[in-house]
Amino acid sequence: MSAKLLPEHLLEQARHLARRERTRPRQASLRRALSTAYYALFHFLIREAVRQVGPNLSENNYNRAYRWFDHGAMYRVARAFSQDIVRIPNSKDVLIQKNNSGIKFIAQHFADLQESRHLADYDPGAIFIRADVLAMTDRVATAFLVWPAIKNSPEANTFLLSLLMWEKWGKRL
Amino acid sequence: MLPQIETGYTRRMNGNANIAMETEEFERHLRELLAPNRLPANVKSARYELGTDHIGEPAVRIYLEIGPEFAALLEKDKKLRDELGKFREGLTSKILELESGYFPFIRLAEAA
Repeated sequence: MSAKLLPEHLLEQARHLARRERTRPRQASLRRALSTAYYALFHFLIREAVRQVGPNLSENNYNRAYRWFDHGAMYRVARAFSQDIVRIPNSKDVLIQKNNSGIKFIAQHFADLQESRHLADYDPGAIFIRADVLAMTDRVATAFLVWPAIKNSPEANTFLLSLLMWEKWGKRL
Repeated sequence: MLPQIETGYTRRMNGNANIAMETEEFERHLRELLAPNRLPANVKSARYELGTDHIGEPAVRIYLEIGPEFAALLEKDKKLRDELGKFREGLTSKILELESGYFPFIRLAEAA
């Protein structure tokens, strides 16, 4: 069975978890909501990247390519694409001189969410408040909304390609 | 052996290559950005911590402290969350524009 709507369904689940208790939300619900919101954006970006790089892949090969993506590498890319000027890793050379504001928003939010997911999943001392978790799920929804208008921009193409091959930009001819 | 004269330049060269700006200078900018008169009306105070993120890269964690009444309002009102979200985005952009090497993570926290 296909999971092509996995990002949208994960976002819906994150919102449900954030509002699971009417009053006094449990930390467990808020933590799972944050983690699920992160995975909604994670799967969204992978789906869009594989669609752009291999629009005619068979389902089996689509699923294989889907597994090439790595959380740590995507995080590094997101940190770099949060900036106005995107630089090639370990170099002063510029990849993008003036970044697209939508890409910056998505990249910033991806980095922010991955850090939050790490706290939510591994730091027992972290305290989350529902208003903040809802704000994070709102921003995932905004990322989904802005994407169609920017997905064919040179900056979006460069961002998606970078999610897979970030270190390769620095390779000398 | 000659004593080493430590200057800002040598500190930077010997330090973490990912931190481009002097920490003191960065903290001065942070204090300006988080001054009480620059915070939204319902944010009681703001504090920050310098450290690293989960992969060991420089990070600054900023906590915007709000009261329980405002937290309850935010839970119900998406428009209010969006307004506060704009402030957070603006703050994130201003910190990134400093090119300090510290990545900002901004959270809401309940005021003590």
